[in-house]
Amino acid sequence: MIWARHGSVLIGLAFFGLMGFLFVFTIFLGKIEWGNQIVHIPVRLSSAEGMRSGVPVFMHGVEVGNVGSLFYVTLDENDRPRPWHIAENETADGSAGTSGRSHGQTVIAILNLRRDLPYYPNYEVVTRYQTILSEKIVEVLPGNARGAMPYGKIRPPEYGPEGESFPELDVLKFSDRELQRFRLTGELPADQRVMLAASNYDDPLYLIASVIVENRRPLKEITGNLRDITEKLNQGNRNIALLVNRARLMEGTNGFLRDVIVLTQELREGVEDTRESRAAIEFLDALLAVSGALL
Amino acid sequence: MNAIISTWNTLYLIVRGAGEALSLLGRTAVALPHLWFKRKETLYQMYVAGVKSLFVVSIVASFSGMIISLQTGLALRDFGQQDLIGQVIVVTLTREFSPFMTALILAAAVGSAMAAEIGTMTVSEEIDALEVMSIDPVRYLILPRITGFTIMVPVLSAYATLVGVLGGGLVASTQLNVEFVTYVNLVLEVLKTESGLKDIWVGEFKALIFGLTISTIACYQGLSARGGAIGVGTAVRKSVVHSFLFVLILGYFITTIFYR
Repeated sequence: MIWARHGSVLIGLAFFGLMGFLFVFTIFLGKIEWGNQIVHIPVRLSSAEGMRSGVPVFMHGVEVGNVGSLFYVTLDENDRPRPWHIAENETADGSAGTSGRSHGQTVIAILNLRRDLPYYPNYEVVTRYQTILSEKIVEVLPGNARGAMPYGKIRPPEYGPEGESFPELDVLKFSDRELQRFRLTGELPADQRVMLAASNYDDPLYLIASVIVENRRPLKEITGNLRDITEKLNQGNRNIALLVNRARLMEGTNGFLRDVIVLTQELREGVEDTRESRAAIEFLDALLAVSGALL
Repeated sequence: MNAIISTWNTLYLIVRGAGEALSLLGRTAVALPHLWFKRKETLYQMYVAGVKSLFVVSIVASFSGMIISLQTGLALRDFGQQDLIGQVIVVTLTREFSPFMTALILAAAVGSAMAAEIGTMTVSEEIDALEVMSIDPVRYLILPRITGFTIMVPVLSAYATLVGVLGGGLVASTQLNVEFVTYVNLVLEVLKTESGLKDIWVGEFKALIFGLTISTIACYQGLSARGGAIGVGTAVRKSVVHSFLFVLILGYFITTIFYR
């Protein structure tokens, strides 16, 4: 009876419900990873240059997630990030806050990864440019138990001599609650888990540009000097040009060089003569030594 | 208070309308086994939707191809890449433009006529007369129309792609100095790839859905026409407007589902 009276309305409601679901799914929820548990790993960056929320994270060349968010944090005397309220309340002399004044700053990136893997002490996290013109990426190499240390890193002595296997590293991974707490307060969990640290490879073009920008003034002066010298040489005035262009000086220089060549030849001949007379000298030396002994 | 009641009534009518249109589609699907008995009428509807619209589709498709070719080609020429114009045109047409364009033309030209025809039958109580004679109007009138129209939209979409590619090739060879043979070879090369084949079947699927949607809306609006000539006019207007809206909305959803 209800179906007979309201069947069309129910079908219409189901239709618009489906359209609404498609609308929300295709426009707003399209990026959600269904059925996958996301792992939130905080990483301390050595440089946040070129980093932003959404930067892709690669693991052995495979995209496994992205950078969720970036936090600028101040550090306490033990090099640990300080909660937001301490940083905010801090005065110039550092009187407010339990940890005293800031001892440095860093940026912490929260990596949202689709895979949870074991990490070893020879892990490597690198922020770098994928190609010379592309945006920055984060590359994570979790390391392995029997692997060598990455290039340029020294094996920590607590893991024994070279060849001994590494234990798995207890890496700091945020649960949803811990992540929320860090977002709101800046407080890290009070345990012994290790926070991953990233090294940074800057863009070569950027580096060259930075060197040029930093040394712009000296470079400008060098260029100006070179131009002046070139002009003076071309115009044939001023000291260097006069010297270079003076015929008498050139003749004197040529004469001097000829003398040097002759002197070198003489020296070489003298050395050869000495070498040739070496046998006779040694014979006479031996003869005199024997004669001296006999006499 | 009146505004709330009015809004509620409007929403109720929209929801009920959608439900009734879907019910009509369902009844048509149930009546599909009787299609063989209505084959002549179905072929006639295919002729009306397909052959009679061929001229308009040809003109629109060829000029669309020419416009895409010229606009994109001029931009590509700045980079010395005008030879790639064939790829741009074939991908644009197969993926989106041909089904979309064909659907809009048929909604305006054939869908409106369908709504007017059935609407006139409704207001002149011909539909009631059929029911009195125990003739199911869905089997007798709706089934051939929806089936014929739905079959012809993908066919016309493929035809529009062909005409559009040829039109684009004409402009590419005369205006952009791209050899026609090079252009055709590139188009065929693109179509032979896995991505090209996917573009073709997704485009055809899209056209099929558009055809089903437009014909269902047109038939439903025709059947719900009330109040004489004015009612028929309203049904035609609603048929065209609703068809355009759903072609756009469903087009986006299908694209998202297949290409995201």
